[in-house]
Amino acid sequence: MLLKILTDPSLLKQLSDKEWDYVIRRARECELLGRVYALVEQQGTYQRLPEFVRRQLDSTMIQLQAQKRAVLYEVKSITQSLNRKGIECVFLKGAAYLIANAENATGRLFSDIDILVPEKKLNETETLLGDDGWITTHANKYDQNYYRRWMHELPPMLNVSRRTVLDVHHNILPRSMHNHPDAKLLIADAVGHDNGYKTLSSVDMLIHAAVHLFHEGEVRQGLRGLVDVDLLFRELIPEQRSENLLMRAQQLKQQRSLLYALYFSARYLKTPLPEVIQSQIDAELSSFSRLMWMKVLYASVFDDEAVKTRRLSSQFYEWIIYVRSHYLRMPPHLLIRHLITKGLSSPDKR
Amino acid sequence: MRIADLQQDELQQTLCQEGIWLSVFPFLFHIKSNELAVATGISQLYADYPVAFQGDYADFHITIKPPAGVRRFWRPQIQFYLDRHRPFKPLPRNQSYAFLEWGMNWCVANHMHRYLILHTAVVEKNGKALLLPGASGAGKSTLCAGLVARGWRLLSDELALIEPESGRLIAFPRPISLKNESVGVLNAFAPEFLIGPIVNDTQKGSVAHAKPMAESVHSACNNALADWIVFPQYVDGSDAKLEPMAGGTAFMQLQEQAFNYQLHGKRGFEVLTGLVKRSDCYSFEYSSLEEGVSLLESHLLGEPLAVASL
Repeated sequence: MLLKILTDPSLLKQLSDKEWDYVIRRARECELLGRVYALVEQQGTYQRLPEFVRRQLDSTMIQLQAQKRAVLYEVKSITQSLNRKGIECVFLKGAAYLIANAENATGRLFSDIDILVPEKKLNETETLLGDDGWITTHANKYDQNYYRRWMHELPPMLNVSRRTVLDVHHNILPRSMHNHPDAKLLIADAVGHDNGYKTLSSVDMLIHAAVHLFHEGEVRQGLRGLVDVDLLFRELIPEQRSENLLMRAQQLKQQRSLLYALYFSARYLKTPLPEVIQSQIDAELSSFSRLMWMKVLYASVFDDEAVKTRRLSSQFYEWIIYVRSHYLRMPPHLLIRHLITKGLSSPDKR
Repeated sequence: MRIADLQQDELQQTLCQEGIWLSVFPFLFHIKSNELAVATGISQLYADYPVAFQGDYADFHITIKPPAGVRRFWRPQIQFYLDRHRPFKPLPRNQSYAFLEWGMNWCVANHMHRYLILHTAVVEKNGKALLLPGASGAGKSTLCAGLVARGWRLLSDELALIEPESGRLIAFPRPISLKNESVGVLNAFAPEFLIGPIVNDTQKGSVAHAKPMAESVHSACNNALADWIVFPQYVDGSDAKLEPMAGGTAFMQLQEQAFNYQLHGKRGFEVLTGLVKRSDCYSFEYSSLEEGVSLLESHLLGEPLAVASL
């Protein structure tokens, strides 16, 4: 039902109470209530909604407004902190969509702020942010080491007075992955906006969304990631040639993630794919039994209706995806060591 | 149909299967649970609340059940689910009813941002509402229960829901949560109060819930405007003492008790200052519930003290 609404928002005019109940629960789970609210606004149907729906959407609207205020404040203050030593940061994901005023920023709720800085400026960045009240989380020595040695980001930083969480990246995929892209290419192409802040180029933003979608271990919000891909693509393609997108993805070694993302986005959200992309998908993915496997794995992540017709529970698929995401991240010997260490440490210490 | 109209085994069976749609004004909770303690608790403490065996929707779909895993065999635990989401770590199984109450509070405080929500007890008499804000252990629930026993209407013992447009307090009456000594204190003060089973060794100590008066439940749809804000503090051995509090101080203290003040931005500030401006604000020390309730009643309903304005 949620998928139907996302692809045809005019359905919002005729939902029964029961259908609304379902849509709200599903949208809350994948953090798409904000998107539903945005679509309701677009359709101008708010006044006709049942009271229990309005209660949920009102709350979401208030959260969205608060988030916008908070994020713009944080973006400004982070930029100022880093400017003291002339470090330029590139905003990623949620904050970037807001800065770039992208279509998918409308109604998108998110919790962390993400930035990308050159790897050689990482220590300096951490110090500057530390001076302004950002402290590292994950006090545990193993975790600290794990992040710093293998990951593409510092352990999340927390602002002590405002409780905001900041992820400082030096790449979009972990060092431990053999196909992580060259982050210098991403930074070189970053674009400045009228408000003075930088984000990835619109092509790279889409590629990052695609990469994130299939490397993330937590997939409860997977559909939101797919909505990002869909909206970014729809906004991008009239002005950018598909060939450029494909070439860039290849240059960043992320072609497969991009094609998977577009394949699923077309399948579930009816993203209109140009001929060039479609034939590339056919050529690249059809030869792999991998596509079958991905279809099985992600069916219930994106399509809640699929749950009904499957023998195994969606929890099972979620677990496999979780394991897969770790497997992609690290070579086996590292993975085994990581899982054993995590398994032995008690939850409290974590 | 109200909970009191049901046989306990009928209630329990429905809770195990389709669940019940419990109307706790202004929200509708769909609750499922296999736990006997949950059925007993609901049957005792929600007796006067409307209930249905089916529904097209609910504000929150809640399940209280043991978490998956082998631990159930040697150390039974219980988990709170909102749909598939588990906002808390599991608790020992004997705390299942208290878990339901805490979980319901969590649902409202985290999802109903259309209201400005304060961690505050609210009672009303003669159309005038009294707010009792206070951190855990300050004695607000005990005082609230004491006033309810004297005929004040319970709007809420934990969460004050303020409608920002009107500044009005929306009633959300629920069983009153009592901790540690306050159970005995209330029992002595008002033996007519029905108090549910006591659960020991929770993270908050011993916990029990007192059944709200039927009158509070039936008139839950009547909202109210604040007239008094009293910050209670239980101080062992002290005489009851009510002192006027400056509006600015009251504002600062009230803000600390807000769950979602930040989210409301400028409007949140306006609502809170409006609330303080229209109310007489006091700090209040007490140790004996009897004395405390009497002093509050005589001062608030009789001659008001001079109060500094904001």
